[in-house]
Amino acid sequence: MRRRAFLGSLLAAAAALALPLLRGLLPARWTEAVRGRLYPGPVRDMDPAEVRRPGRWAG
Amino acid sequence: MDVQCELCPKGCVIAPGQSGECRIRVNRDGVLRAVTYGHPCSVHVDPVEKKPLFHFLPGTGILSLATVGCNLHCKNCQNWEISQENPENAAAYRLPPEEIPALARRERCPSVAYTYTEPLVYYEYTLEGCIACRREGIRSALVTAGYINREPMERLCRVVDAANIDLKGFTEEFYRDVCGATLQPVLDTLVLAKSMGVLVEVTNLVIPTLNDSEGQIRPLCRWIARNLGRETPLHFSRFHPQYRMRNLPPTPAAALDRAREVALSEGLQFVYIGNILRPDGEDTFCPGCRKPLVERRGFQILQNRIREGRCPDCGAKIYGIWK
Repeated sequence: MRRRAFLGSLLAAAAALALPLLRGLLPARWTEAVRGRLYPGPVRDMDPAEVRRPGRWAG
Repeated sequence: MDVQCELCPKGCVIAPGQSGECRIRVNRDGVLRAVTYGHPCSVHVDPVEKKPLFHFLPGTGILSLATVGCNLHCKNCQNWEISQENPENAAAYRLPPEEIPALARRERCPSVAYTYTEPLVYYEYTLEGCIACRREGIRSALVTAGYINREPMERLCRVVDAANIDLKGFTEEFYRDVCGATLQPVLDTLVLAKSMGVLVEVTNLVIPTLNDSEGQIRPLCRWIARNLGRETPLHFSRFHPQYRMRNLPPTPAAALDRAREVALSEGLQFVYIGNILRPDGEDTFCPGCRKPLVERRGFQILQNRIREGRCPDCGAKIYGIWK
């Protein structure tokens, strides 16, 4: 085996061994989030009269 | 451990205890949580014309919901008090998605809108609300900036009936400098929604000196005509100085009239002017015989002559969901 080929095989073997370790270091990927149960801010009761009024917001 | 949110093109990498740019997708102990799920900060019955949706159940009320949060940070945001607020500081109601159809029925609304802030960042709530409404025969609409990745948008499009999608400008520079985002994902969302059968209307807020030149408006209109179809309604909306953009004047009426002329010259069939009263600015004309079909003033319908989705005079089919 030529030296370049030997070094290539060595690098490939090292990468194969390191890949699972590297994967563990990468952040976990999420598209859908877990549904939160507790709202972090204040929660108030819905007022039907307020619901019937058009919103002050655009859109 | 960090998590990466792949809902939108920002792809935020979120450290434990922190949120993404949208403020409402939080890393709790290595788990991404949607913290505003089932907790809208605004619930109102609006005229559907306010969204604006002009080709979707005209003259009806639409139950309009929003939680806090947005993945864009437009300097001219009209609703920044809720879109750029942390949930910790904003009071909310408890309204799980499965209870949305009952509330819509109680308020005699044939449809529900996810609006005011950015419905795509409270994605799980929007998705499940739309699913619950479809099961109960209530239609769903989005009012959105369209900044989301393809795969979650595809899932949402299967249960959404209509969307008003902002096309805020037509250059990457505009999206970068004014909104902190990029243009291409918005174009992709527009094409995807239309191709999946969602009724799409487009809004362009015309801001003096930033996106009001013919050099920006004509390519935008041409792109819509070629990629979404000439029947796609386009709303040019008047800018008012607010939030972090108080240095510019309100859009002159002449600039909006000019934009409309450009859009019509590019072949778009339904072009509207909003946030200001202009002659015929909110009326729908038949693309076949040019006779008026729907007359609107503000959010009121004065006359609607569309019958079975067609012009009563020439029989041309009019793009929309009419009943």
